[in-house]
Amino acid sequence: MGTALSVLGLAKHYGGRPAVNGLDMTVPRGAIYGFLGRNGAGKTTTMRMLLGLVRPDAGSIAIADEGGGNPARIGALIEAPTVWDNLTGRENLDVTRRLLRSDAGEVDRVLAIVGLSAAAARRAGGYSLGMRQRLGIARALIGRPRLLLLDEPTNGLDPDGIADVRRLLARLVTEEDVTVVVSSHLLDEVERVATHIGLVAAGKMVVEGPIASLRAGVSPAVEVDSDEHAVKVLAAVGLTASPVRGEPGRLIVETDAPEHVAATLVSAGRPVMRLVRREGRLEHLFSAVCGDVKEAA
Amino acid sequence: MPVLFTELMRLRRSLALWLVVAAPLSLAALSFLILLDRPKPVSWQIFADGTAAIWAYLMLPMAITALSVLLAQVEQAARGWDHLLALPGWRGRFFAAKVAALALLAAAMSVLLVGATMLAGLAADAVRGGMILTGELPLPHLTWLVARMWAAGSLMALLQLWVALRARSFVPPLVLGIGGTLVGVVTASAKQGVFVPWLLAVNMLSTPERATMAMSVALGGTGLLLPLMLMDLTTAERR
Repeated sequence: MGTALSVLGLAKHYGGRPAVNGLDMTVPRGAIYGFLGRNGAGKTTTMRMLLGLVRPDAGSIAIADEGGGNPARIGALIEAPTVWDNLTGRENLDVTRRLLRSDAGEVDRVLAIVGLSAAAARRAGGYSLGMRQRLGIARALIGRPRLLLLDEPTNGLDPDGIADVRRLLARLVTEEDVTVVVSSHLLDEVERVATHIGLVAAGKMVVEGPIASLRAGVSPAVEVDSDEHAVKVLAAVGLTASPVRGEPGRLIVETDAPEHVAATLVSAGRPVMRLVRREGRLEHLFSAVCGDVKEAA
Repeated sequence: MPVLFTELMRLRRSLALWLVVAAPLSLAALSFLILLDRPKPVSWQIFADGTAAIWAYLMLPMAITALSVLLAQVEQAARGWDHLLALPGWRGRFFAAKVAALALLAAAMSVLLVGATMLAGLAADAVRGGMILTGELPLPHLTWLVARMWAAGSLMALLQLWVALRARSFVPPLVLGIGGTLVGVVTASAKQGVFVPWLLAVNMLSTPERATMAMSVALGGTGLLLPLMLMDLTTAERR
């Protein structure tokens, strides 16, 4: 597996404040790379620099070529999709197709991929938020780019739409040999589809690698609903429990032995209303590195 | 050419196209009403020059202001720049296409103005029993005059478009357009009027020397500013 995209020491300051601060990033070819971080962590600025919309103050960006020294075309959807409301869906895509000098059949191909064929003759101004998002993804796919940059591609989509995007990304990688960089705050969604993760905080890459190996490094935990005395009871037997912010009575206990947690609380006379074993998940990694996951979302 | 074609494609069903039709037709309608109300006959040439004067003083600068804002908003409202400027190739071609599109739309307005003015005159004359307009139909004269006004308006159009493309909001180009038109009206008879971009088209109605000077300023200024504008817009960051 070669490298589709390599970023080294990327930096960008706005008004003296670092938006991106020496970011390194390596995206293997054929990966679905989940680019994660809190709002304001520097994800969108990084993507804008990858597309040349913003000039880096420092650092280098290397994009694998398509052979013959031609850099791979990048398909992108940044923040919100480009949609000309006065044009139909088909006309919208035809603008991009003509600019890229792609085949006439390309518009039908991408419309079918995102499931917008039936609405293609309608004016895009009447599209729902989800349809606009799919139109944006379709636009990014015109010309069969080898690298796709998708910034929050599931924004505005309903659960079915989110699942569709997930399947689409997986299909693009396997069937079309595309490398996808997808930024999202929906950790569960990224976790279900990503093969690699890059976690950015304060403009720097803090964790990066294949998702399987990152998950392996995250401790399992037990989530338990009890009362305010439970933390002390568990601490007395050497278990570290942390309250979940915004959810009174809910604790995360770092252990892979739920039966031990239950027995300790019950024997101390504390209530156990709910107890769930949680496998090592991205959410926990995110919490560990960046703090409260919910705030990031 | 695909860039200009897609630029025009994006104007389908847009307000910009409505404006191209509405601006000259509304002026022709006004001229028609003025003729109907006129107590004495007037020559075709004076009627044509009068309509062209209103066009150059007010309607052309205001229409160019509105058109340049609408052309810029095509991308700003649709987040079009994020997409277009990320495509491979020289970015300046998209801004050059905007300039060409504005020039074409202004030319279309000019053609419509000439046709609509002639029709307005003929219609008013027919209503007044053939007694209100005298002399020959000045079609070549009006065509040449409006064509020169179009060329002389190029510097103003370029400045308006530059500001409209540079600003995220439509307010700065509107303020510039309204302010420029006002300055043009105030300085119309002043010597310096030959250097005010919003007044250069009006100078086509003046003496041949002043008209030649104004045209030189317009075309020279456009030739100098166009590369600067393209360079500035091409290198500007899109946060």
